[in-house]
Amino acid sequence: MPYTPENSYDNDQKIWSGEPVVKYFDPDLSIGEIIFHEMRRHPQLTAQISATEGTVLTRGELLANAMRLASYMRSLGLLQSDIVGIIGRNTTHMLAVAYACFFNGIAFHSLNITYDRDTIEKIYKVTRPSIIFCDGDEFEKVRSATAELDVKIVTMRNHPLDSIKIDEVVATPIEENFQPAKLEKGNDQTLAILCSSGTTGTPKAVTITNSRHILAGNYHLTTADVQYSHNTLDWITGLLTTITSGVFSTTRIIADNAFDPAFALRIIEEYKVTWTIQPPSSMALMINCPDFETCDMSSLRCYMFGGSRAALEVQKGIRSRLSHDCLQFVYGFTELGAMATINCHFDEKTGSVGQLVNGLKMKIINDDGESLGPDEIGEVCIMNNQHWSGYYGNEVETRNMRDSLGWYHSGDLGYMDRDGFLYIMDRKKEMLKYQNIMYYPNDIESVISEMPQVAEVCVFGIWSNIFGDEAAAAVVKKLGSELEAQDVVDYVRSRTDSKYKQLNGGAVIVDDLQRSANGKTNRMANKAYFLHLKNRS
Amino acid sequence: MPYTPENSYDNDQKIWSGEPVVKYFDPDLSIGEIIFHEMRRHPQLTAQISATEGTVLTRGELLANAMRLASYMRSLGLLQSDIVGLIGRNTTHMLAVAYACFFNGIAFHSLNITYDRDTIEKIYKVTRPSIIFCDGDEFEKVRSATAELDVKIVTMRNHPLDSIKIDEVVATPIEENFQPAKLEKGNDQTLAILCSSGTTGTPKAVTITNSRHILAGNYHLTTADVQYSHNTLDWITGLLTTITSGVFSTTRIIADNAFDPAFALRIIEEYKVTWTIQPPSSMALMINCPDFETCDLSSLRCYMFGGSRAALEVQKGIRSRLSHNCLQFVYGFTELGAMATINCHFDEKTGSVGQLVNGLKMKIKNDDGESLGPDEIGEVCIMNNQHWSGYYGNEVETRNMRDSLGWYHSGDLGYMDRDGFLYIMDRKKEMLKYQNIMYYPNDIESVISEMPQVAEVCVFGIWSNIFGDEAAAAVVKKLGSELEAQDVVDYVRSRTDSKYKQLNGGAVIVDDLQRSANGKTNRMANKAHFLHLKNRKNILLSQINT
Repeated sequence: MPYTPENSYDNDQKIWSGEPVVKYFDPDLSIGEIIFHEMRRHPQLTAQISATEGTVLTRGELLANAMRLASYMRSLGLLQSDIVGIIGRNTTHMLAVAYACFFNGIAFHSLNITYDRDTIEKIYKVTRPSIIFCDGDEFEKVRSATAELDVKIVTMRNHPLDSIKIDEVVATPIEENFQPAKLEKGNDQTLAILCSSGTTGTPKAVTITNSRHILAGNYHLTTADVQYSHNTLDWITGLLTTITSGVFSTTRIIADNAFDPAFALRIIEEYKVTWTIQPPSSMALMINCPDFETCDMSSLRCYMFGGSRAALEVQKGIRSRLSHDCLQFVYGFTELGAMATINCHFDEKTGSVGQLVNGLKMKIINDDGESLGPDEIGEVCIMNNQHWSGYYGNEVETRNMRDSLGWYHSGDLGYMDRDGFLYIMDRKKEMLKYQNIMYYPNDIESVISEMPQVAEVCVFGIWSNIFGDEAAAAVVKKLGSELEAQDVVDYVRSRTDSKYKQLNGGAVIVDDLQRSANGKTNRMANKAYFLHLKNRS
Repeated sequence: MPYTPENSYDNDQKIWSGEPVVKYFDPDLSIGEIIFHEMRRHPQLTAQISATEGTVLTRGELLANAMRLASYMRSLGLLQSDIVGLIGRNTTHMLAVAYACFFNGIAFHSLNITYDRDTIEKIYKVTRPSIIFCDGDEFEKVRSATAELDVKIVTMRNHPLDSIKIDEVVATPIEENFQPAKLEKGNDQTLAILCSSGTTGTPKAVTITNSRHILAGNYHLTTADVQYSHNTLDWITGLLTTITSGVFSTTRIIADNAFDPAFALRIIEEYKVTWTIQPPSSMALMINCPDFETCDLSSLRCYMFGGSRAALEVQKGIRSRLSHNCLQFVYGFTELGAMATINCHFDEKTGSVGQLVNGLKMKIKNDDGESLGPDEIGEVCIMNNQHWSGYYGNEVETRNMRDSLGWYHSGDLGYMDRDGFLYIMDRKKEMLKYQNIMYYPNDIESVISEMPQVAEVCVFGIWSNIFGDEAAAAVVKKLGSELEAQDVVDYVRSRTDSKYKQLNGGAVIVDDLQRSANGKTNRMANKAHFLHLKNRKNILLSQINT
């Protein structure tokens, strides 16, 4: 059975290739130019609906707002080498701010609202934005963190008395004969700067290239599509939604509340959402929501998830309520600036993150850097034949991430099967050893997820001088369920004879898992929390 | 005052250039691929409304129909070297047939419904279509004309008993995983074949290249636009409307009736048409229509006319009823496969056909082939840096039309002013001489058009052994007006002292001017008609004297 799309494999070089890049827009056009013309071409279509603020904007209106904001930035004398800071929720004018940056060839650096003052100060000391758009909720924090920078701050909502309000800025007259700027460095120029997952100290400032690789896997979108993602612009998926909505002229549903599963389900039903992308944590919250079993999700035709592994039970739960077989596991990393693989074949390839998207190449390398063939486990490396400006102001980490030949070293261990489907085992650094036998936390997590009382789980290693990494678990039980920590330990013991895969370090029941700012489960943080609870008891 | 867009002029080479080609779609995509993806991307928008048949199609529906027709053609084994014949009005499924050809990389050869049997036979003997889509109205004529060809005939409307009906063909299942074909010759491949104006014998089969030059001047179109053109696919403007509607995802209004000015005005008002392109003859009919003064034309934002000169009075008449300053004179010729110039500055540049569109170059040359500078009259030559397959099966005429450097020789005389605006004086061949002084029929036509009783006029030369070309006129008077031929002669005499610009050959009042199949005024045909009327008059006089 051939799987579409076809991935081809070079047996000599041991390199897999996705299909050729999709040709649609002129290769010289920047993302900003494409969005500008697409919005101009569709003036009467609905561009954005805020489910929380109740605002509705046509493409013509959104374009006008973006041009006003771009004209404002131009009036400030901002150059393409300047950076705009963004720390905010998906409020009515956030999309226009992003598009204004694209139209001006100016990269925005987007941070998560949960970052503390010191982290913000540390990060923005690197990129030194000239102006920051943030919610009034974080105004004091941001002002304090950027006190040493010469920076303007505009608030998007909940405006304090002494901030510049977005409504004032969006009233700027549009420059006469407004046209999007030509990028000084062409499409090698940086489009945006996001932060990598905070699993290793201070988040790194990841530059995202102005390339249409970010569109890969989404060329099926039409003007009939309604996209909803709760992810903000500091997530690669939030950026992806912002760009695809502009390029493919879809209707984007936004909400500026904290993620609420009941509300998300209502959005999908009310606005007949056809496309969504979520982290597994949101999926887990949704299937545990009382409304999940009754909500009408028949409009969904593309339900993507990624960023980390979703428990099989969660995947099955979501899938059971979809009218179309459209649950897709996507894999990528922020540095790539796009998705790497998509799995549209759940039944045949359960657990796989899928096949390469258009325009990419992949190899699996062992510890000696040698390329491996099908079914051999090694580090996943991706090539996209595109310029990358690296981590802003961090040459060392940039070289670690991408080698001189242009391969990104994902740091993830996995293998390709003989049909060209990728399976991710774990992060290379998160491989553990018990009595010198390697094992993966994910394997134990999969087992624990089978327990009907379990909503979410995170497994990590607790160091023992005698045994090495002893697996331990933090478990979130389902609402209304009865579950004790010992039940979890007992269940894992009953499911495997291998001593090293037992919960030798024990388990704790917690209200929620510790997460990074971008919603990914943070193993280090959960481990620290586990130890804290153990010490307390 | 700078005029947008800017045309640049190379003073040494004496060449004018339009702005660079607009970059939007990937340069490798064919017109068919662009239309396919644009239709797929906009499934719920309205693609087409027939004002006469009452049908409405969404882009999703039109795409499905086009894929069905393309699948039908594929099932017949049609190759990219095959040709599809079209002879029909703008009926509900004509657009799908055109798109099916584009999706398959197959050129269609489109003829006008008014062509007689012998002309059709002569033309299609050259391109030898494998299948022809025509209206039932012309079925017998077409079948007779193509009796010697092995050709299938599908009827689009008014189906006779023994034809294949389009409704049967449009029921063909769509091929699985349907994708538009890759063009074997890339975008140098022929997209369509039209016929040149019939001013010189049998129409020539003009190949139109699969290039997005045809989009030039229309990149402003959006999904909010409503396009209406009565022109059928055998006109370059009919092809232009068909392509731009597909590429820019507009709503296209069609009608399969003979052009009726009252009906056209109703279409513009009812469907809030934003874009239209018309020949001057339709414009003249519209301003003479009683409904013209009351019809709501405020939706129009782009009113293009071209193909021949519109009398200034007609232009002013149309302009007085437009809510936006959007009357645009466009100039081009079928061989170019696109517009060459557009004039958006009526007030400042009255009578000009405008500035070069994106991607073109122009020079004005004298009889010795030397390039001329601003304000010097010569033959207009255009360069588009694109492949042209020429006149199908006619190498000689192809070389006459386009030289070895790639310049098209328009055969039109004109000059460029210092702002880069082109003025067309006349066709080179239609320049006349009286007592060895050159003059242009258009000059005299402009004068006659000033008469309030005059709706349309055509001036041509009647040969005199003594004087040379004596100007004569065929005049259509306005409805309800009083006008005698002598009035016209007298008026022209009063407006100029120059003997050679008088109507030395006289004038006749006619019901309508003689036109080519594409609606252009046919000077040769009007001249012949004039002579016919004169002869009949002389015979009558002779009989009276007897």
